[in-house]
Amino acid sequence: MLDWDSSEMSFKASLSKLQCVIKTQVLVVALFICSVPTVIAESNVSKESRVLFVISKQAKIYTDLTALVQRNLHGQTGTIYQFVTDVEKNFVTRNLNFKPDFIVTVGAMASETVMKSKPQQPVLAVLITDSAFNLLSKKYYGSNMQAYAANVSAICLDQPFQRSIRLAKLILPEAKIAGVMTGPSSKKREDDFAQYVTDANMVPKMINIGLEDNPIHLLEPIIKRSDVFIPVPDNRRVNIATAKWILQLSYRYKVPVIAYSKTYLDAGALAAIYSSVENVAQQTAEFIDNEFLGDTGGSHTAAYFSISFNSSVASNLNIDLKSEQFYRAVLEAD
Amino acid sequence: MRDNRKPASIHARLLLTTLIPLTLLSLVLGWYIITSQRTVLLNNLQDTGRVAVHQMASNAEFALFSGNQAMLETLGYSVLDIPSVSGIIFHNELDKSTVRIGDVKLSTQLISGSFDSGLPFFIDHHWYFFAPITINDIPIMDYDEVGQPEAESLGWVIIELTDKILLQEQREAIFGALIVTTMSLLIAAWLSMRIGRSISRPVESLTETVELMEAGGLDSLAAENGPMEIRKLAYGINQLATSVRESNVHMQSEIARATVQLQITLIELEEAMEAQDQFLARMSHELRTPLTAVIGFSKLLATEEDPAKRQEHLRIIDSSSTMLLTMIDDILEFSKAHLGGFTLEKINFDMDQWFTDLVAIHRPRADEKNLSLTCNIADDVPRQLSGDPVRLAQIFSNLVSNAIKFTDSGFVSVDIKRQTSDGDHVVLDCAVTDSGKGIAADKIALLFDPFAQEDTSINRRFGGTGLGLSICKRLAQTMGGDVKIESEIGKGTVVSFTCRLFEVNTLSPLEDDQAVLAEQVLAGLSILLAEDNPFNQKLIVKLLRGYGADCLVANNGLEAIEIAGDLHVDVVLMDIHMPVVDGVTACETIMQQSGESPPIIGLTADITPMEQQRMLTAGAVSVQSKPVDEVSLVNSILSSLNDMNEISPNSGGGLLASVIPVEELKEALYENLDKLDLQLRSGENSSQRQIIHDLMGLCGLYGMTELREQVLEFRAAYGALDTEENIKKVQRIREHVEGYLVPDSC
Repeated sequence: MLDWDSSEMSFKASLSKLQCVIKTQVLVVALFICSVPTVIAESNVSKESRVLFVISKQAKIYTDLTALVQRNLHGQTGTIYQFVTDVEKNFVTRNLNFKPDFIVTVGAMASETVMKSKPQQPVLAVLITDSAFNLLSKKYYGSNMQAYAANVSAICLDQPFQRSIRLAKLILPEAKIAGVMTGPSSKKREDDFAQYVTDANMVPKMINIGLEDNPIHLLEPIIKRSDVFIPVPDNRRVNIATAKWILQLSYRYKVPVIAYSKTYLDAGALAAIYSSVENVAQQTAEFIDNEFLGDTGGSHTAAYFSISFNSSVASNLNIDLKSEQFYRAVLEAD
Repeated sequence: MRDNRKPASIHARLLLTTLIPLTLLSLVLGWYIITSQRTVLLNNLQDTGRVAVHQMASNAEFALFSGNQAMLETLGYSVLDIPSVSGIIFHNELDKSTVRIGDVKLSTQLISGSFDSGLPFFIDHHWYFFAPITINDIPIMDYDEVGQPEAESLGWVIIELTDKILLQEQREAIFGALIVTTMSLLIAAWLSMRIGRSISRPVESLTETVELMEAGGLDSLAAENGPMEIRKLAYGINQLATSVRESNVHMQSEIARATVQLQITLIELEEAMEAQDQFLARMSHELRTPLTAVIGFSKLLATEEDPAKRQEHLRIIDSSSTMLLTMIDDILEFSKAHLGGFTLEKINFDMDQWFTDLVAIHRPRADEKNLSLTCNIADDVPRQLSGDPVRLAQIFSNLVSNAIKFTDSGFVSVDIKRQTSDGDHVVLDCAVTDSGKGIAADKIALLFDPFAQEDTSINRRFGGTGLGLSICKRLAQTMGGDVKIESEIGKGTVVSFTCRLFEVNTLSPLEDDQAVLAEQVLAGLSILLAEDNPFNQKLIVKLLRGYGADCLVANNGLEAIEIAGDLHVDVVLMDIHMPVVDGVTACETIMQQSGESPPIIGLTADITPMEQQRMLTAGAVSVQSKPVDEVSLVNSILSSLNDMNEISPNSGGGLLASVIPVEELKEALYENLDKLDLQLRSGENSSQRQIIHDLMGLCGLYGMTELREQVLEFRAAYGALDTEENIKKVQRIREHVEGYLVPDSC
């Protein structure tokens, strides 16, 4: 179990557990070399780039993502790409054999494997949360800045908080009070979040949930008084421990929840604004095309987003929703 | 050892055979319902407990996690709404608190370790169901690589269910099952009785009907209902009863008819007895009258000296004696006719001469009364006839005498005409007409009754026995005809009759006893002839007597056996085919009789060696074939007696041809053909085979091969032909006889 904590002891314990999981997890080694698609952007190509995709495990979502990335590359710099995809377990061997120019890690486990080995090539971590990337950077490079200096970049899954607030206001224009839950990692940005809420003409009700807190006791009074509730993604343990009670309380007090994942939405939230595989693939391809060559590392927020609604919840809460295209268009215009 | 137990009725047996299995079935059904219901109720209780405790564990997660005791109590009391739930215990692992809701009997000491197995636990009439309360996190991350964390235990919940309701429900189930079983038993009993009755009732009904029929109630009808077999049986009994009833009706009808016939016969007998008494009285009177006259005038004659008176007395005595004699003759004639019929002679006579003599007898009396007596014989009447002229004259004399007697003035005429002729036969139509006082129509029929006259005054006035017409009628019938009277009061009477005679063209020179005798080689021998055909008997007897033998005749095999056993017989001539006992059997029997058996010579028309061998095997010394060869037969008889004499074909042959005239043979053939024709027309076939057999015998005897073949052909075919065809075939045989047997050809 990954358990990223700001305290050192918790971090060590979590790391130990992570290693154990990595060792014991049975992953199918399937070496499939995709056809080596050569994308010829222009007739006067002079350089060839070799990209190694390291995925956390052999699962459809990862292979889909890599396929989408390759499909979205346009070779804008006149570069011919050669791709190899492998699971994180074989990263070292693959790295030696393939001698890639770039490494793209897909998933938190693949990112940790690659970052642990500190390769010479630039690394781009995708399909990873902001908090997870921060923890890995701190763990293997000392800090985010040092990781960036080592040409480690990331495209985080987390959508900007402003988008969630904006979406909440669009869906519930009459909402006056917005409850916002933060966790251990996001606690330091509570003021920013409160400001965003205020900017959206709503009164913020902030609540921070620690790892040892009883979430019900803390969440119930906030949710009870809110017109809309927005949980901010944070530590995985906090996310999971609070989600069940947030949804139960929102159901009890008829307070809609704006979620940050499609799965959260399916569990009972009213709406979700999140990064889909297509969103991540598009941003990754653009990053490779535009920035990998010569770019130094950095953490990049999600450029694209997806919106979904739970029509059953909306019906129960008597909320009239417009089409997703409407909200997307408004948000993209913003 | 006899079983004295009373046999069970069909109804009882059917009842037992259906009730026992149905009762067992009902009991098994009841037992099954009870046990299954108990199981179902227990399972329902346990299911209720399990569902409730898991539902409660799930629902209590929030309350237990949040430490909300009020919510726990609300949840607990909601479960108590379930009738069988008597209590619930929530335990919070976080703060080690326990909440008891309801009247929970379970002690804290028993809780620990009692529910590790997860199965319900039963203590002191209570069931306990346990479920842990855990936090089950829900997935919310889209790209979660780790998976859901393990469920965290919050505590547990125990639900207590009392078994009171279960027991109550089980009692109700048992009660219901008992009701179902009882109903099943009742239905089974009812069904058994119905089935038993449906079978036994028709049988009992049939039994009652049969008993009624036995008691004479044949009008009773068995009800044709119930099972198919019983219906068939009832139908059969009804048919039988109907048949018996019809038979009884028929029998009663026959008895009634016979009784009526008997009564009629009795009346007729009484009338006959009365008529006989009257006749005897009248005869006594009538006989006494002339007898008294004879006696009286005889005494007067003795004392009378006047010659004229003496002469008158003598005339009266003569007249009375004649009258008396006539009366006695009539009575004797009638008696003769009454006992056995008349035996007619067959004598050739000349019609003209015979009629002249007849008229001459009656003309004096007609002249005395100044009556005209005219006689007329039609020209087509054959003048040479064969028959009994005496009896014919008797009929005429009676009728003419009566006509003269009852006619005071006028005439009496006698007319003879030829009515029909068939071959040699001629039927004469004779009539005696007078101009007398006539006879009343209602009296005519009485005239033919014996001892009856038109009225008693006639007897007193004219005398006579009243038997005359009766005798005439019998004589005419014997001659193949009949008598008929037509009369009108005041105008006269016509009495006519018909008779059948033979027309003789050339009078035969031979008579029965005119056979020419040959050598007397068989003189002194007693020969038994066993032959069923009378004609053959006559032929062979005449033949043998011609050679000096004494003949005994047996009509069948049985008679031959008896005669051969009782009388001395030198030789037996045995026909093979005879009625009663055939020749072969008779031959065997005679050969087995004690004492010395006479030699037996077989006679057969069958020429097959097998037939002759049968006879020889039976003991015959030889077999003679028909037609009989005269010389061979006589020599065979002599040979059988070891007599060295022998006749030659020239030593007297031709006797066979002479002994039986052709006319006689034809008459015999015609007689059989007439009988056959009559039986065919009347549809009676009782003696057709015998007649055909006799015909074949005659044919065989005289060697008429073609005729015999025709008869054989007829015998083979007559059963399959209709009456008309058979009659035609007989007619053809008759024509063949006529064409074959001309007097000179036989």
